[in-house]
Amino acid sequence: MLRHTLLLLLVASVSACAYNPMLPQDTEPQVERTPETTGEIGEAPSGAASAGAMLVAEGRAELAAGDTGKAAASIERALRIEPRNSRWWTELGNVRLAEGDLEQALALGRKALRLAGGDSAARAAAEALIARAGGR
Amino acid sequence: MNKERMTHLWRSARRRFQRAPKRSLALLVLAVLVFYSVSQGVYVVRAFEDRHWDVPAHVYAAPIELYVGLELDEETLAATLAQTGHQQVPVLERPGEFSATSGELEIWTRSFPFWDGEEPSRQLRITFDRQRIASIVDATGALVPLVRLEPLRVGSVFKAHHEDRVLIEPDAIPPSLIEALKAIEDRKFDRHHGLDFAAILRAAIVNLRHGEVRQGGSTLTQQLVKSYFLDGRRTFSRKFREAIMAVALELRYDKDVLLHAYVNEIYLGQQGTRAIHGFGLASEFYFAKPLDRLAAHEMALLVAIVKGPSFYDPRRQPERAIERRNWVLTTLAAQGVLHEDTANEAREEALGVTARAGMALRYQPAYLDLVRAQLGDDYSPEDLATQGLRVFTNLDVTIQANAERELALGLTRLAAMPGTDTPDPALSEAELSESAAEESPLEGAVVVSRPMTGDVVALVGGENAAPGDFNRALDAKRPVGSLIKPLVYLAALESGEYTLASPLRDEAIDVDMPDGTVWSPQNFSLESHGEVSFVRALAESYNQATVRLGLDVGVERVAALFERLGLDAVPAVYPALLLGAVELSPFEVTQLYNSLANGGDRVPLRAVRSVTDANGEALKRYPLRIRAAAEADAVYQLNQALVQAVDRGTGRSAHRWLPPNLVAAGKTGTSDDFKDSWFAGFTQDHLAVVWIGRDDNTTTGLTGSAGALTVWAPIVAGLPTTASFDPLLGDSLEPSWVDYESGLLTRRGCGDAVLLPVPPDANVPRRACGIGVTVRGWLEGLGDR
Repeated sequence: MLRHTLLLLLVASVSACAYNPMLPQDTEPQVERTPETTGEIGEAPSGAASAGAMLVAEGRAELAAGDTGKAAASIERALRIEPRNSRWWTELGNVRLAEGDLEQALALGRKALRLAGGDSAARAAAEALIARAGGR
Repeated sequence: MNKERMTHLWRSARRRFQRAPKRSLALLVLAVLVFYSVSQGVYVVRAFEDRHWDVPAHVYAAPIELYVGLELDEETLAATLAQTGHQQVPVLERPGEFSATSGELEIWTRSFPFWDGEEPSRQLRITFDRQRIASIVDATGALVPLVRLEPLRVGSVFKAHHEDRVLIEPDAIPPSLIEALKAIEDRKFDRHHGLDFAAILRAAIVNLRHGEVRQGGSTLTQQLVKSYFLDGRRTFSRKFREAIMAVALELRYDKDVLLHAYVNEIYLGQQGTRAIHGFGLASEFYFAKPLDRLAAHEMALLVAIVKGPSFYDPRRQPERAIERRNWVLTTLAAQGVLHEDTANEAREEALGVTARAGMALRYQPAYLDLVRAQLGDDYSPEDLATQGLRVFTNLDVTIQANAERELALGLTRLAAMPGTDTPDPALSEAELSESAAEESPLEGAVVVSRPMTGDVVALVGGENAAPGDFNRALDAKRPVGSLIKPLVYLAALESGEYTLASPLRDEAIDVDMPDGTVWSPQNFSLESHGEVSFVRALAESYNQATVRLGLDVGVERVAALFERLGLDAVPAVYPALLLGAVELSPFEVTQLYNSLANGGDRVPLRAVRSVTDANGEALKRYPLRIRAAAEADAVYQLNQALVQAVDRGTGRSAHRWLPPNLVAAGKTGTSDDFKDSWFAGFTQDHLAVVWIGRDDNTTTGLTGSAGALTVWAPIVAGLPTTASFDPLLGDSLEPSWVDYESGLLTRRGCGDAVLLPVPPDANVPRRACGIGVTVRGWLEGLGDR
């Protein structure tokens, strides 16, 4: 029961900053800066966390339980659904950081930073990862 | 035993032999026979044991994941479910079924042990809104964020001998098949001990009466032995050996073990050099659907074919096949195995076989080659064939089927086109048709990946995929021609000396080669274009401008990009490399372009995600690993030039197939004498590489845009998600209006202006804008191919 409650809380915390694929995408010329992530929950059906957010929440729980392999697999599933969500790349980087793989963590952090666009929270998360992985 | 006694025994035996030579001879013969029978029995049981108890690794396609917001309408989902082993019914009664009413779809999912845990069986209601999933609700009314469906099994890894099977598990053999096999082939199967003497006698009488071989007296066990261990010759000694082996198997194994082996072993057809063994594969081969989905008349046809797969070949001998099928149906009804009405209805049905073999979703030999190659680093062939591993892959069966279909259609279209073969006018008509028959046909290969994760989602190794066939996607190494040019331009952009707006000279050039010869590359049109913009030189694939650029940047820098972007081998550094004088497989090209499509990040292409043991315990994961391989801003600029190549350059005919306004980036490639036709291109979520050529390396008469592009574009147009290529602009670039022809900065609407990313410090000269400029630019834009 306690585990379920914790998982729900995690889902809520992650989905608060989830990229919602239902939001219309900016269709300006392709060289304009178009923030990929929106930072808001948008019009998801009431109570439903986005699929990506749920998977990342699972990944976090698995990471907390020390199973980095499973955590990475869950976050990869989220990435297959939303490959351009900067935050999910940061999350995967956090798993690699926990494994002590600084090189991967750094590469993933830089990828996340490039994908963050104008989303300052996503940008900050990616920068934090890069800093912890020893990058600048 | 003492010596005296031995001597005594020997003497008495000799005496007896001398007294009754005939009886002793009979005894000796009997002893030899017994010895022979026992040795054959031991041999057959051992051999059977060796094969039968191996559990091959099962390979699964990527599961379908359903979630709110997914771009998917009800009809597409219903079609995909039907293709992937789900049954459409009016009312759900068991897992694996779905029902669709307008705007809503109900599904009862099957549970499945994935590498990261069990997915439960659930009853779900899915609603749709504007081509997307709007909600997923379970039986209790709770919202479900994500559902993963049971993945399709697409093949198994056998030892070499067993390579080509669709294995049916014992509990998955349809009871109707077992009943029919017993009724038609071996009525006393449940009672006999391997041989049925009455049946042999009966068969002899029937055959004598009709003057032809109508019935065989072989039991299912004898047929199994023959298929397993013996060749097809019908000699008495073979029959004898077969009988002994059948009895030995019966003594050692239960009937259902033998039936299971029979169902997976028996020979049921031929496709070229490929033998079709087992009902699982035969079902896909003839009907392109799984065994448990066959209707009565289809099952009856398979049973009818057992007798003589080539004599009753339903594709070549439809009359014979239908006659025997109807006889089977009548016999089944007469024996009470099939209801009379069902049999009558089934007799009215057409044969129902597909026109061509090899389009079955559950059977993916080309992709399996890649799976084996990737697993080969971690598992021995022995382990793969025997340990019952479960291999989870990235194969997307919908995209795979689409790619196979479009390649086949494209090759047919291209082969019918005049000019694809260039006959010698001196040949007579008879000689011509002869040379056409000898000519190896147009072939092709396709690889589709998802650039950001490196997932290989489809791989087509040729027009007709059979195991053991030459897999062109992996093994055909061919000169890449202009496909290499993006690497030349990337090296230039990375050097910081060039931008998309830089002026290049497309003029004749003589390169002194180390061997003393002079290399003078020509453009495709045999014309030079003078000063052109960097972006146009790439988009229009100008050879002379490219060679000049590559020599300025340094051939070794271009060569170094091969390794940086993900290939093992660095090509030889010589000037002809700049125009693609290097041989790569379509898969290797995919690896190079995947790094480009992924913004300069290199991700190893992966077929396999994860491997579990037979109980679902995770053994190995193949994680996503990225490495920044090329400078991101340089790749961004390069990709915008490749967008221009599809938009208005050598790839522009793609828009005949692509959805309007879809932005794609790509490049054509043509090798010397039109031997190889290539296209590599990507949208936001997918990269596809297509090669077309001939196995004997003769000319195809096709450029990259006339050949491979006409297959690439329909494949991309048919992808389930076709999002425009739309990467994020890096911080150090600025969108600027650039004159396509000259590369001078200009403004929107002035001349032939295109919006391109340019570094702000690039210091590009600006051009004045007048009406003359506009018209001239516009006219020149129409010019070259």
